Amino acid sequence: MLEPDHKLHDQFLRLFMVHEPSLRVYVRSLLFTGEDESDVMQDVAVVLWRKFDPTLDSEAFCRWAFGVARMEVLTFRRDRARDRLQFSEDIYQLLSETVYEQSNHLEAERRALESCVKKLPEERKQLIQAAYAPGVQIDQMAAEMGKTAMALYKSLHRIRLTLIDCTRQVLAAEGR
Amino acid sequence: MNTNDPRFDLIQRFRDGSVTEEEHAQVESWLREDAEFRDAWVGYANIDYALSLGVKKSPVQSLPRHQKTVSQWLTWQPVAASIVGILLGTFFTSIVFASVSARVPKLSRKPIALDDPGFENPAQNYQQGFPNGVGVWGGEIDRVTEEEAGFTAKEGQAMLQLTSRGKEGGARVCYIVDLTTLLPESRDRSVEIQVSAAFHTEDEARHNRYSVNLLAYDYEVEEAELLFPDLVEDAVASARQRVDPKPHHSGWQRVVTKLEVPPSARRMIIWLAAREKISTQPKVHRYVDDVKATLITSQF
Repeated sequence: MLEPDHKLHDQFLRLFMVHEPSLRVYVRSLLFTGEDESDVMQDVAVVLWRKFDPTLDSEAFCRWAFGVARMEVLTFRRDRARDRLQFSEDIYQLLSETVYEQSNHLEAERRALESCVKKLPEERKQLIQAAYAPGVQIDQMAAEMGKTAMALYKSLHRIRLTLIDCTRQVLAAEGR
Repeated sequence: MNTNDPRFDLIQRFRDGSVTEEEHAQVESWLREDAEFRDAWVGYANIDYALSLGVKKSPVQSLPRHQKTVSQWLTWQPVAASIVGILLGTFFTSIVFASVSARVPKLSRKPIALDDPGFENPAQNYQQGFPNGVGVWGGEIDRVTEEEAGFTAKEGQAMLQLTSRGKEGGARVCYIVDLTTLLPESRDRSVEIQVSAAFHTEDEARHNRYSVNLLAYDYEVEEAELLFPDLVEDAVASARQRVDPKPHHSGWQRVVTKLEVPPSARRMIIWLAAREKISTQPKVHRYVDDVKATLITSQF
């Protein structure tokens, strides 16, 4: 068996780790659930590693990685055939450009989110924690809480909007 | 995009999988043409992703998942294992939300029978103004028609033509649903009702605005006509979905609204409205067709 090229691996990992959050946001903007996002990101990582070109700089790697992610999402949706309604391919491209161009801002928003979550009333914090726990099904959770799934989706939506407002305020205060 | 923008609600409904084909097309069109909407879409995904990270970082119990993917990865060299660590680490770190796991409810959808929801009956008794009882359509109703200005009904042979009024050229059509006969008296939890309707305007070049409003009351609301703001204030629950198709949007536009109906509710008003977003142009005819109402309940 061939010995792994540790230098190559290190180089790949460094690049991958830098761009992984943006790739995940991109995939999430098209697939919506953490489970689907993780499934696709596994495939993305495998393809990126197998086809890794060490001559790429960070920007070129990122652009290539977004292309790979786009193809993997398309493959995922086609294979699963779960979605009756699918986006046209140009939307995939537009969203990848948006995430790519805004990756710094999105990262700043994620940082700001930490303080915003802390400001939430305790019960809302707990609701978010419970809803985002891996494996939790919103239908099940809603039933246990005596709510409809739609009502729970709406509650979570309202919290997300509160958090979006809050992160915007935090970033505005930072002069971003 | 301001978080008060109703398109954020559409983003959420898109993500939970409850949009219609028309709404999907509308979202796709906004994503293609409106950079602000695209930013909002990505920002929402970003917050969603970040929240999932936050939860995974918190002290949790282990609940292994996705083990099928691990065996093949374990044969990889150390770097691959590192990638696995990055990508799958979060899988193995999860909260057991103890009270959630026992039962698996399914959403049950049952159509609610409305009187002539496709407006197929030319002899139907439509009322001018607010309907004076349950099970009757009332509003700025002109007539039932089969074909106008080169387009036909969304469903079936006929559609309802509305007469515009007021400076915004608006028109509405309302229907009162008796919830006491529809829902069990002893229910102790809310149910959900979804209503959708298809809208059309004879002049598609306009800035049209279509909305489906649902209002639930804990009393019998049919006695008198009230102004819309009063009706909203009196309601024990209300929901509205509004769609502003871009000028020259072609074809019927379906609008869907869901309302969580509390146990105390006895009546629900379906209030469909179409008007001019920019109110300076001559009045036009507006059309409504194919109203669908669905009762959504959880079943074990």
